[in-house]
Amino acid sequence: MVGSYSLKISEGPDRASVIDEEHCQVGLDYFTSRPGSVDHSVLTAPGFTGDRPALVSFGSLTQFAPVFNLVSGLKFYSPNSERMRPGTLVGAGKLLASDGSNAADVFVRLERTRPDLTTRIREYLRAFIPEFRDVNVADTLPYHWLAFTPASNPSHWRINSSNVSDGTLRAMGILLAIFQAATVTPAISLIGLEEPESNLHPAATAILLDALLEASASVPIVASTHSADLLDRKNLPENMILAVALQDGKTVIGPISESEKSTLQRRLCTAGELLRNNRLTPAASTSSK
Amino acid sequence: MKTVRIASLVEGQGEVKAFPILLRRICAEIDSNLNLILAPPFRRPFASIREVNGLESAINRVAALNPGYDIVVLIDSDDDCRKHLGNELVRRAKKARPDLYVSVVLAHREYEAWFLAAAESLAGKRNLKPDLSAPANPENIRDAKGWLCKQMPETKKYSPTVDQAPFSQGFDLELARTRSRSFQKLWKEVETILQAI
Repeated sequence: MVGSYSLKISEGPDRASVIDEEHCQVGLDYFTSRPGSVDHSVLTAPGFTGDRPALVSFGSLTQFAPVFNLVSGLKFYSPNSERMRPGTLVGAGKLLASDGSNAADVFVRLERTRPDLTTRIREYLRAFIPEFRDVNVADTLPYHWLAFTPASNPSHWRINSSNVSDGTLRAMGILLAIFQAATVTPAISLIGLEEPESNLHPAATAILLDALLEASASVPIVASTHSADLLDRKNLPENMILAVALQDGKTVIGPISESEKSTLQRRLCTAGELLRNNRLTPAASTSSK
Repeated sequence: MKTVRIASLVEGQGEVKAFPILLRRICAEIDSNLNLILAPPFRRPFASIREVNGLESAINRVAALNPGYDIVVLIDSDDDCRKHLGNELVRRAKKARPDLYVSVVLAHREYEAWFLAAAESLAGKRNLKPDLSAPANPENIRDAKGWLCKQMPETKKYSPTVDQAPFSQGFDLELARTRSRSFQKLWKEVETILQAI
């Protein structure tokens, strides 16, 4: 099934966002809404109040439900170490919060339902931070929190989330965000990560890339990055890279140019080296605001 | 008990943890009565070692960081001719540092080909299928990492930074020596270093 969905937003007179135009096409079915009007192909249109995206209403129809599910399944993460530090009330942990604040809930749920995933998360954590050999959840009910076991630990004590580094918590947040996807219903359609390399040791960026590549077998992942170290991988498929530029006040996103692709395909350098030389640029203008 | 000090120059992030494990295993097989001291591998990206002065500057840095150590350079041959590239890098290393013993080993086509050569010994481990057997020409497989991924369930993956070290700990060295010429080369180079002490 092939379809498209677009949303054009501008600033209204009271500085609130206003939807100028919304269009959805799935096969021969479509709807287009503009302030005060909606055009569509369906026999009976759902009720539409105009104060929210039309997809919220049209998404109840069978032909547009896949688009609604896809858009509502977009999840964006930027784990915030300060929100992850304190203990939290025990919850269901069905979905990681965008700031990672319910990491302990999600870890408990994964440990119970998919111990293979928490085993893998632990392996990546040990790769990120060799000083830790394990992570679990400690509790003083009704609160719980992540607790980390040092590798060298004759006294068998653990370090609580309130006392570990920002990098450790961000690494856990990212690992939970990307590996939880296989277990979430309704399904996550795409995970967005903003600069996942932030607060990570430069030597850990290759481990981060491995984790992203592995988790992407279960869910599409889009990550924005400024890290040349993250892109310093030979054999990184050039079609995995989208370049971003600001041109004439518009954000332009697109595949890299043919000469840049050829340089990568011929292994003359890595994408990281192109980035260091400011040579990762969009080849064509795919404009979005 | 004789003391052996080995430093290494590697390309891949996975090799940083994996190669010392492998070196230690090979040394123990050749001579179990050694005091082996391994420096943490120094890593340089794949293109930089081959470019003009890239190998030379890297060797100088490894030597400066680890005075008195023998040096092993381990890179993947990828699509290059292993013999030609190997000879060129050995010549450059000798010219740059005639005072040092520098071994150059090219894994053909990549480090993971050694795992393929000993695939039966990894069967059932770390998500690999239990009836795993080695491909006919393990060193001719173009994407050894991809081959390993295909021997796992679809949602699992071989990740060098997490899996290369445990695989290096577990694969059968003798099987790899039998089926991989580049692994034989690594073995011979380590033997040479140990015999020179």
